[in-house]
Amino acid sequence: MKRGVLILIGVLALGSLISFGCAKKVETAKDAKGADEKVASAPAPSPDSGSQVKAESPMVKELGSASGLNDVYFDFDKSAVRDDSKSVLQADAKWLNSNSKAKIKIEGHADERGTNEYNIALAEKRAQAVKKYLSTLGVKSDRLSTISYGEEKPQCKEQNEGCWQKNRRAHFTVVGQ
Amino acid sequence: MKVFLGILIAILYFSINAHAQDVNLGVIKAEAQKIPIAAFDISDNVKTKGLKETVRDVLTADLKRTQLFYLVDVEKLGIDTKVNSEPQKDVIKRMGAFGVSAAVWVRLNTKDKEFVLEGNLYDSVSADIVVSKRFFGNENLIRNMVHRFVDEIVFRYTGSKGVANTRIAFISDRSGDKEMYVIDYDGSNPKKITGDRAIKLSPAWSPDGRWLAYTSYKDGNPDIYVVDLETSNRWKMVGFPGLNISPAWSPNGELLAFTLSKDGDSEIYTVKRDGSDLKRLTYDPATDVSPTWSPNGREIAFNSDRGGTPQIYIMNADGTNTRRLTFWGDYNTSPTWSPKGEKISFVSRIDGKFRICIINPDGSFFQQLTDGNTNDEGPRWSPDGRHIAFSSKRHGKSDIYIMNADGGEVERLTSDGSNNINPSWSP
Repeated sequence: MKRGVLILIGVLALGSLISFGCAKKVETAKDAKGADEKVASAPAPSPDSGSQVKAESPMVKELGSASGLNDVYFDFDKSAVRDDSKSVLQADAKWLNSNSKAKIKIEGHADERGTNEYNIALAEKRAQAVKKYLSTLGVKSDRLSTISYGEEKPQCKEQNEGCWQKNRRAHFTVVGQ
Repeated sequence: MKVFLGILIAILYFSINAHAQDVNLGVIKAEAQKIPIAAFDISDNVKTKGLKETVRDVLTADLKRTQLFYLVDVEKLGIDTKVNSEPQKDVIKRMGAFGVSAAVWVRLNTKDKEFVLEGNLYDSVSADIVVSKRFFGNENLIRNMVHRFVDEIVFRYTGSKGVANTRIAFISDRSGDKEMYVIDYDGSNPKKITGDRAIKLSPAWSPDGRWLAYTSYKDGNPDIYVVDLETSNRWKMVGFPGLNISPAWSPNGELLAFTLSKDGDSEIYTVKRDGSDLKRLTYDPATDVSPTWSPNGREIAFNSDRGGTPQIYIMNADGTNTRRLTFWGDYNTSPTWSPKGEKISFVSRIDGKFRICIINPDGSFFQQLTDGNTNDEGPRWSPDGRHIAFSSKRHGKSDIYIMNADGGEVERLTSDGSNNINPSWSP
C-alpha cells in the first residue's frame, strides 16, 4: 500500500510539474483519422533554357580605355559626381563631342554592401548624375542612355575598401555608331 | 491527511518554480513553454537503406523547428521505443505518467511501387489517437510526407498550419549565372527555376504559392517577370524604361507593388495581377524602393532616402499618410512586414556591419537579432511568423540561413560554395 501511494505521489508530482506552464492537453478529435493523402511533388517547372535568350547586352561593343572614355567613381551611398571625377568627365565629353555619332550607354554600379534593391536604385542615380553632367558639357542627351546593375556586376570581388571603391562606378559602353 | 497536505504543498511549490525556469525532473528536463513530446522509433518494413534514418532525422528536426515541442528521450526512463506495429496503450500511458504530453509514431511501408507513411499522434494520458495520417507517393517524396505529418501535428496544437511543408526561393550563382532556385524550408531538394543566364533578383511568392514574381535582365533591362510554377508559363509583367524592381504581392494577391524609375527617380507603384491599372503611390524626388504590405493590406512599408539616408517609412496603401519608422543610424533598408502584422524586420547598418533587426510598426521595441563580424541581409518571414530567413556571409560566400524570430537557433540552408541571396519564404 505504502509503495502504491509513493508511486502515485511521484506520478502526480511529475505530471503537474510538466503540464503546468507549458503542456496543453491534446484534445481528442473524432476526425483524427484523416483520409489517405496522395503526395505529389511541389510544382517546379524545368528551367527555361537560355537557347533563344540573349545574355544581357550581347551587342554592346566594349571600347574600354582605348576609346578615351574613362570610368568615374563614387562615395558609399552617394550618387553625386565627385570633384575628382569632373576632369575625367570633361575628357569623356571631349571624346564624345569629337565622335559625334557614337551612342553611349552609361552603366551605374554599386559595391556589394547593403541591400540589392536599394543598390540598384542608387546605381541608377549614379548613371543619371553622370548623364546630367555630360549634358551640361554639351553632349546631347539623346545619345546617352542609362542602365543600373546595382551590385550585380562587380569589377572586383574582394571584400575590402579598395575593391569596393572600384565597384562604385559609372562605366561607359558604345551601343551605336 | 498530513501526508496529502505535504504533497499538495510540494506540488504547488514546484509548479510555481516551473514558471521561472527550466524544471529539472531528474531525467526529464522540460523547457518552459514547450510541450514535452516523445517519439517511438520509426517502424519500417522497407529495404531501402537509410530511409528509416532519413525519416527519423526529418521528423526530429521538423518537431524541433516548430519551437512548440520539447523532445523527451524516454529511453532514458527505461521505456523501449522500438515497436514493429502500433504502440501498446500501456507504453504510451507510461510516457504520460512521466509527464510526456503526447507521443509520435511513424511507420514506413511499401504498397505496390509506392511508399506509404503512416503517422499517429497519441495523447499520452489517455493513449487516444489525436492525429492519424497516411501519405503515399514515391521515394523522393518521403521527406515531404514527414513534413506534412508534422504540419498536421502543429495544426492540432495551434489551429494554424505548420511551415514544414513550405519552400524558400532565392537567387544563386551556382551555375555561373544569377538564377532563381527553390529549396525546401530545411534546405533540401533544390530546384532550378530559371536558366536564361540573365541576372535575376528579388523573388516574391504570390499568396497562393503558385506564382513567383522576380526581376530579370533578360531583355537587357531590369524588368519584372512572373513564372507560374504549375504551368511553367513565364511572362514579363512590368517592363517600363528604367528600373522595374522589388516586386511584392498584396496579401489578397490582387495587386503587385514595385519600384519604377520611368518618371526620373525611383517611385513605388501598384498594378493589378493582370497587368492593368498602374497607380503611382509615392511622389518624392528621393529613392523610394522595396515595398512590403501589412498583412491586412491597408499599409505599405518601404525604403526611402528622402531624409538624407536610407530609412524605413510606412504609408497607407493608397500612398497617403506617409510617416518615418526608423530614426537612428544612417542605413536602414529591406523592410518586410511579419505575417501577423506585429513586427517589421529590416537590415540596419550598426558599427559598419549589416544586421537583421525587428521593430514594431509603431516604432517601439527595436531589437537587433544578428551579430558577428560579417554582414547579414535580406530578411523574410516564414508564413507562421516564427522564423526569419536571411542571407549572410558568416561562412565566406553568401548563404541562406533561417533563425527563430527572436534570433535564436540559426540554421544554414545552403553550403555549395556559391553566392546565395534574396531568400523569399513561400506561403
